[in-house]
Amino acid sequence: MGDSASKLVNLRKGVRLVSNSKKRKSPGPDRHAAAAERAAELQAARRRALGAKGALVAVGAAVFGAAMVFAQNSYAGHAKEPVTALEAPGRFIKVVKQDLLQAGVVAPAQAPPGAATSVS
Amino acid sequence: MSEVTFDAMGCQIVLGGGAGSVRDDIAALFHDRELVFSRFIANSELNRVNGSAGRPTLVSPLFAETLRVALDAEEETGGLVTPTLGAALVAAGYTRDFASLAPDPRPAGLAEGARPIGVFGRVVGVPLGVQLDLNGVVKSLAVDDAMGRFHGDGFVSAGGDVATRGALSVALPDGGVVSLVRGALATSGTTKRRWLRGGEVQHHLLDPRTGRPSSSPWASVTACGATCLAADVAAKAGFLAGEDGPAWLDGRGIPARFVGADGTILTNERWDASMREAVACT
Repeated sequence: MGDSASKLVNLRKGVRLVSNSKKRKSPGPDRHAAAAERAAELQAARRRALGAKGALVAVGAAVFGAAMVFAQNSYAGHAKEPVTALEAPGRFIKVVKQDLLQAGVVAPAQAPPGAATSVS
Repeated sequence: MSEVTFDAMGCQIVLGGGAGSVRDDIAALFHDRELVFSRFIANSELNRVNGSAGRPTLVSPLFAETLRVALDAEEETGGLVTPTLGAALVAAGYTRDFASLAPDPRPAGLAEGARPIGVFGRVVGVPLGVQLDLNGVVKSLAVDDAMGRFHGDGFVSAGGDVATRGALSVALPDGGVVSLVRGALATSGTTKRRWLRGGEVQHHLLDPRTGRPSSSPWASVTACGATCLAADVAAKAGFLAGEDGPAWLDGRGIPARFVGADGTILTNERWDASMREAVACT
């Protein structure tokens, strides 16, 4: 009797278990809705993450650009204007050319001549 | 100081000091310049340019730069030292290397004075009838370039133009010795390059106004410049300025010494001042 009673209980549990597993394999309409809702939430989260990454990149670029502009305007050694080839002003060139006739230095001789200047 | 001599540009070149390789380099420099600028080498670049007078000619960078220097010298001297008197030199009979120049019974040809020429970068426009003669600057520029090859003290003497690094005692025309402390000494005059044409004495220092040999009262003028180019241009200008030569060079701060046709020696104020300052410093 005891054995048969315990078998019956086990049998009932087994039926219940079978019944539960059947319920999982074939979800109802509420289960579908929950899954769809969850997927939508995931999509939204992904969109927000993507937006946040984009914003982070944009902010980084903006900070870098601002730092460059700041450096250009404040750091002494940084070029303030576009680099151009060196070119002496015409007036300077004219002055240099006018200096073609520069004087040398002569002094009384201290030694016998080592060379001679003469009409060539 | 050891010396080496060689001939180039129709004169004797003396190099004092410098290593053997430097001397070889300098000798090559003088010979190369002669090949480019000689009037007496048929295929020189100078003759090619003179042969294409009347139309634009593309020249080498060296030629263009040298011509530019010659034109600067012309401007600086108010036209006294000009590179455009080649045709006048030919008319006076200076048609071959001076060593082989013989008296010519024919009278000197018609001469023209200086005329403007155009230089645009490496394009040179020489008007018809004009012949370039860059002798006024080529030798002195070569001396200056040669000095740049020396690593230590030394000197270069080219037919009487002397440039030095380090003080050097230099004998002067018609006696006297001076110490060249810095720069160069150059002498221009008519006592050497002179010849007979049609019974008249000709020489190579031409008056740019007439194209004829200058009738300057000086036999020679020695000038001291910071470079050999400056000294050479100053000496020529001092000679061609005639009586005004001493004052003209004083006005530009150039020490100069003048030897008259009768052998009298005159020094300008800058020459005397340079001597006094040197004595005061010692």
